[in-house]
Amino acid sequence: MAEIKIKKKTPIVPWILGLILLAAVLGGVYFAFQVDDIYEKNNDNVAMADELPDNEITPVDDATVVGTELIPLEVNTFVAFANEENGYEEDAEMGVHHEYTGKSLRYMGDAIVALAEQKGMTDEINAKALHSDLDAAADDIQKNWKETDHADHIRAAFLKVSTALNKLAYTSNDTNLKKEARDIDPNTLTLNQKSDVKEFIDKTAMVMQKIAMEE
Amino acid sequence: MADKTDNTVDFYDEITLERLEDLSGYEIADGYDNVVGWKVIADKEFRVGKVRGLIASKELGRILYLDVAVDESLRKAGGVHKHIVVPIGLVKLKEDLEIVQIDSIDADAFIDYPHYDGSDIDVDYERLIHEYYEKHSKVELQPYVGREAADYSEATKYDNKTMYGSRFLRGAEF
Repeated sequence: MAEIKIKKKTPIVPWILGLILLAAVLGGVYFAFQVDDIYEKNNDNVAMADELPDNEITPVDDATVVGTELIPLEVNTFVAFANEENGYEEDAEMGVHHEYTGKSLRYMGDAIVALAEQKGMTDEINAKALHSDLDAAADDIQKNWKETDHADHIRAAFLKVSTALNKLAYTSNDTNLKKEARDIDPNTLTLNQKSDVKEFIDKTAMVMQKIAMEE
Repeated sequence: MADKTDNTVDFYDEITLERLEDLSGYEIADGYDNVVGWKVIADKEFRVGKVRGLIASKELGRILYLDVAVDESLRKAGGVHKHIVVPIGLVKLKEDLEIVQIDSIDADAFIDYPHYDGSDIDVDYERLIHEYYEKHSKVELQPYVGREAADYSEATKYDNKTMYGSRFLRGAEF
């Protein structure tokens, strides 16, 4: 003889609600990441003005018109490089920092030449020779990064840069800019700390950008 | 098996009978066949029809009756019933063939089988079914008392010929 038992159905509503909740959470996380990506792409790694950390320099779009002058591409390239945190990490190995410093010197050289041409001061600051000196210093730092006297080489290169920027800024009517240019004197830095190098690069990028934006 | 350990129903509570499709919160338990649509064969080879529905008691947690749709051919041959109700304890299931076999019904049964309109099974109709099978030579039953859970319990009524027996012997003889 037969028997057929019945049972209460397992309620599916809690499962459905749970799945909906999970989907909502996952969707929210996904959406948040998407928004971040879009934000970063749209802003080209530029932080919002009210979120700018200290020493953060905002790159100006190549097509940005200031008065009748364009910001030189080389200056924007250097500013973007200074803003890029990927190449600089406080606790990275020494070789990485030398690589970063070497690159920064090359970009600085390009930017100074472009600034000098913009201001008509190429000969006055001997821009081409400075460019060569900076490239040579970069070569030395990157190829022989295990040497122990790099701090001296870096300081010497930075001194040349700050001297040139002082001259370029001196033509400005902006006294604050002149002061900022003087403040990037590497003599104020010990250069024993990796962060000192980064600080110099950031300040230099900021001053270069301001000089380039002056009419 | 329906008892207090399986269900929350008290031994003397009155049970209810409802079609399984109307019990929205219930379904066939795991390991048991849903026999709806299975062919119903009586007296070895006499085809009665197909299982149309299942009548269940949620208190006891099991099916008590099968609602069988009688074949058109049988009705044309003189049968007047569109549906008949068969107690679950009187059938055997042959799951390999999807056949429900009833040995206690033959063609003559349709002469005085209680007429069923295909809707709910009330107490009066259940009593008629019970009385019909009480007269049957192959079935031994206690007089119908009512719908207390105890009346459907293995502890009080189970034997090899009970209408509501809960022993499941797939394909086995009575």
